[in-house]
Amino acid sequence: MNPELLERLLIDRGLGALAPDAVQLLDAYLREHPQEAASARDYSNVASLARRALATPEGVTLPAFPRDRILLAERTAQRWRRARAGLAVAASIVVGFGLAWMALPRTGVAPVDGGPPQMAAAEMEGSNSSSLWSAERAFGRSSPARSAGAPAGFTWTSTGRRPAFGDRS
Amino acid sequence: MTQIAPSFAETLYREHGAALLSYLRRRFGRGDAAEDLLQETFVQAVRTPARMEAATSPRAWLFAIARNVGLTAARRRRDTVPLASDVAVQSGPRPDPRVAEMREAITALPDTLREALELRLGAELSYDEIASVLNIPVGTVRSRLHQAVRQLRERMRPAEERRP
Repeated sequence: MNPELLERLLIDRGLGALAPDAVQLLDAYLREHPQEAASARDYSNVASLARRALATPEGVTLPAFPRDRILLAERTAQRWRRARAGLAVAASIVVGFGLAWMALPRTGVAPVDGGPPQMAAAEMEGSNSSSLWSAERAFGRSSPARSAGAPAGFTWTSTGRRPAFGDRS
Repeated sequence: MTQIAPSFAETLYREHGAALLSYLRRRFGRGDAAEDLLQETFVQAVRTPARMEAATSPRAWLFAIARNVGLTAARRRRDTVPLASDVAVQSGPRPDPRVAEMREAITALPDTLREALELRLGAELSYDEIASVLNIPVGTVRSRLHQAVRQLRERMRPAEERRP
């Protein structure tokens, strides 16, 4: 047998980690090879002494089972869990209120004075745009001042009927 | 949580408490410190009752917790791990000089080898269980144990045999 393999087997046997059938085979091998038996005894003795040196001494007095300590630890853990849950709820409420406050429409914040539309219209009046949807067309037709330049003989006298050519107000 | 766990934990405490206390004394404890670590081990164990009940080897699982508890405490204390006297304390009424010599030889082993040996011969854990406690492969456990035994054999050999 390979000496390294034999050594591994002998150590495992000394440590009690060899399967019983493997132990039997090893013993049979050692009976046929007495020159290896001394080495086997050596490992066995070392392991046996180490086992005795490290054995759990008899009559060890165990302290009482730490029931109180476990209960105390559990109570502390529960307190932490509750505190964490409370903090989570509080944080959710704060975030919820924050989001709601941001989402609410602002009333009475921006006064409606008609300024911006007039300014926009005025700005657009100065432009050269005269397309169908231009401000010039829209304001020009509804304003009497602007209609001064309208062609003679075409006056819209009533909103109830369509203007006809030649009508006068 | 604690309604279910303590009864099972108490059973484990009765079954493995002595071995755990012995391990903690060897590795971390002096006096009451080891007892305190043992109690803390069970406080930690009860915190995860599902793992405790589902553990393949509750003994290995408890040793792993005990080891972590001990290491954490040692780190806090900035303490060194074992002393020869901690191992020697466990001698019987009429100590065998060969056993005393072996204790010294074990104390002189590198820490990684000694720990594996303590878990195998002191706590009687299997190679697989030691691997799970130390969080290392089984092959490494086997290698450490073999190295430890080889070194012990060398140290225990009579002086005249050691001479070339």
